[in-house]
Amino acid sequence: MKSVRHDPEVQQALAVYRLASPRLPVAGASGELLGRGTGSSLEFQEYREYLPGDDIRHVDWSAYARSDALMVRLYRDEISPRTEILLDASRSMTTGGETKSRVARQLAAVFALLSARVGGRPTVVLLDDARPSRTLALDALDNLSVLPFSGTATLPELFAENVVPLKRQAVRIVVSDFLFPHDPDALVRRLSRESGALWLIQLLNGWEADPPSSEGRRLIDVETDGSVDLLLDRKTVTAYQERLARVQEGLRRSCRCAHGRFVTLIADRGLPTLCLKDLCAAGLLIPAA
Amino acid sequence: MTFANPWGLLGLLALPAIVILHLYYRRFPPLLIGGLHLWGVQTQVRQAGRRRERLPITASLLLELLAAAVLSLVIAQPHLAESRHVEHLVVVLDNSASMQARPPGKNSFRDAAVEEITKRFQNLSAGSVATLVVTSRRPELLAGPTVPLSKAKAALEAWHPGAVAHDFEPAWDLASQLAQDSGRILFVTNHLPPKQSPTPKAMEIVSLGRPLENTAITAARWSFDPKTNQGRIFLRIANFGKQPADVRVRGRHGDQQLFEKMLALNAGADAALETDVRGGLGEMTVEASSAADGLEIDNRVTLIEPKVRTVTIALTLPADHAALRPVRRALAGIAETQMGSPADAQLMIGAANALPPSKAGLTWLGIGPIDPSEAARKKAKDIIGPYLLEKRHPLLDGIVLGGVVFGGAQAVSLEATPLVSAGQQLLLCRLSGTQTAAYLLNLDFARSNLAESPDWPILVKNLVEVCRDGLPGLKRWNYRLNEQIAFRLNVDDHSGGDRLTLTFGGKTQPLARAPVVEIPPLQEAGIYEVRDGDRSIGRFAVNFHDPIESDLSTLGPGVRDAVSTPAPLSYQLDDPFSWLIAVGIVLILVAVLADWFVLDRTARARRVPQ
Repeated sequence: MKSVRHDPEVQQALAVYRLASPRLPVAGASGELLGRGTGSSLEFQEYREYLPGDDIRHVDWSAYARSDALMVRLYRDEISPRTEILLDASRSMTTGGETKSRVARQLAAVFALLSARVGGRPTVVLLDDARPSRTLALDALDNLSVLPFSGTATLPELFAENVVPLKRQAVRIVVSDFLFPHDPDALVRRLSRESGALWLIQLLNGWEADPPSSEGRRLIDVETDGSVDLLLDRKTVTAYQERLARVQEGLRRSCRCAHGRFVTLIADRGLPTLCLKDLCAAGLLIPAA
Repeated sequence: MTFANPWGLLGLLALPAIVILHLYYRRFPPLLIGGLHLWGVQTQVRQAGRRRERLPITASLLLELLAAAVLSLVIAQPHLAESRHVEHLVVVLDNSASMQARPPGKNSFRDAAVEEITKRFQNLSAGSVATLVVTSRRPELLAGPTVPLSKAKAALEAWHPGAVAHDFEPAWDLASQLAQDSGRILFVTNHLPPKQSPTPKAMEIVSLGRPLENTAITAARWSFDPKTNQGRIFLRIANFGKQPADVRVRGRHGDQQLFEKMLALNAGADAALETDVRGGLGEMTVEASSAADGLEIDNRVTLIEPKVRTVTIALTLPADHAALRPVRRALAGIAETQMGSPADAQLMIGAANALPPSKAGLTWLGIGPIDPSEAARKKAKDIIGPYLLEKRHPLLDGIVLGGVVFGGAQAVSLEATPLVSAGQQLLLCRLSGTQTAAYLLNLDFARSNLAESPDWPILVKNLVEVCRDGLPGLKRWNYRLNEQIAFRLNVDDHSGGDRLTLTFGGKTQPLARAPVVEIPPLQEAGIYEVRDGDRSIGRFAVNFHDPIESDLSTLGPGVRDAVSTPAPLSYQLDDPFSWLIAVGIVLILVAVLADWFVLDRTARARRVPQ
């Protein structure tokens, strides 16, 4: 299988886009991004009264001359945030052919490489049945190409087992279809805990997003092996779409509460279109200058 | 509504079968998905057996049910016609020429018949059918059997009666067969048949005729004398009316009037008229007109000038033969003959001991003694009868042999067919094994009194006429309607094409090529021409001469109801409802195609997510 790092669509995305600034993390290693806290960068943030222990180099002597009060300049800290890309490697990412899993690999690679470009120290956490969850560093990114997407555990189950290694203050990007039973508030709360920023990317195939009405089908859940015979008539499809919309709205609302972002992508549209239309519109990517 | 094939309704059993198939044998192709809970059901655990579930009303189900139902109906052939009580009216039309008769100032009987039948058609319910039979010696269908009234009306308008007198029974029998036990029969004529006639019980008779005055040419003949180059016309004019009539008879050749004569005929009387015309006219027309004349077809004849058919005779009898004088004396009185050499002769008369060559078209009469030796002559018998004559042979037409002594009859050793015999002794016979029409007269004129009997010139005349009949071409040139016509082709003439035809009024009818060509009885009066390829080999005239049909005095109106009225039958015509079948077939095709489309769309949708 071709290396995802050298995937033409991934290379094109890397050339055209850069990662938008997530809600700034409070802290992180010194880097190119500005942190929410004060630091030692050259970018002036505000004044405050001098307190003992402050760096005397930041005292604004001119202001002292004017106001007879010791004021120190505060500068924004330059950080190098950690980026965690949580990739859903369960079987549900394989439905509808290879498109969904391929785009999932591409997204993980794009986010990892764009993050690395700004010194984000990305890691890809594979959410499958491995205990604990495996992580891929940047240099092991090509392993995504052989990722089997064979997991059956859901994200809430993994969190419940506490097998997902999450770092504090990291920017978390979750790529999943979120087609597992879950409580969106609890899930988002758990994902946003101690995170610097949270992006939820729901990846669906075209049929999952808008299934056509048709004759009777035996629906088999690839993860639970549960099945049911259903007539996919208009009424049934409409009810499914309403439930899916409720799931999406729940995730979106929870993300807003957690200052995160939620976006739904249709894998059938292809990575270039997703980047150009959906990810840019959602503010996750911005065109490179 | 009835069904022509009620068994086809068994096809409706397919409907519950389709429902059962959809109910119990639903096709649920597997589809791998994620997020089964979003489909509103929990994971289903399959149990043994099958649960009854609500029947899904799908487009496929509806289309398959529709196709099965329509297909069953098409097979069952529903007919809506029966509820309309259609009838079958069999009309027998009197095709006699007298139906052309026209009362003064009124419609002809034929027009009145058409009007009457049209009224009957109008009284029939919509969808009714009719069959038109015209009487003739061999009845024919003018329309039908069982055609819509519109077609029957069109055929009726084209009907032109003109047949000579004939019986109606064959047409009635045919009508009875066509009507079977349900149809009504209507016989339209111009005179009621006698009550003792075997008319069908279900037949209503309507006579629209009335007595009319009429004069007619009942016979016409044209003879020609080559010696004087003069033709002679013989006509017989009859008055069939109840009143005396003055008849003007005119003969014309093209625009040239040849003769005109007036005849005063009493009621029911006839008169002969003879007049000379010059030779070489080719053809002429004779018209007889009177003030009160009901029928036009019998007032006019067209005649063809007869051709001279001279028979060349060769006498090869020895000069001392006892038959020489009697033969010469008999031939002297026969017209249109000439003497010639044996090489050119069509008729050879010679001694019986010198047999003729075998030659088609040659007639030979050998006259005894067969063996002229004295010994044989002494052994010969003199026979006085009784004689057994083959009366059907034209050579013996009018021969009686009363008091004739066949003297000097000898034994015949040749293979021959007897024409006149006495016991085992052949006296006149036709020899076999030769193409020549060879006749042997087994007598010795020196010992017979045949030459003095009146049968001798008749026999010689018959011999010449038999020979003349064997000449190529037409025997006569003027015929009556329905008369058998035959002519002999010239077997030596191969200049014609392969196609032998009879032409009349622009129409061409093929004839079967044979040595003797027979033309079937002709039904239309006029000039006919026989053509061999592009070459005309003969023209002849056919005229209407029928005193029975010309006698209009016996016509009269009347109605004779049917003895029994058959129960009306509802005939089912496919024509008016064939569109139903067509619509049904189209529906089936649409349903099948739509079903296929629906299933195909499902299949395509199925392929996408997997």
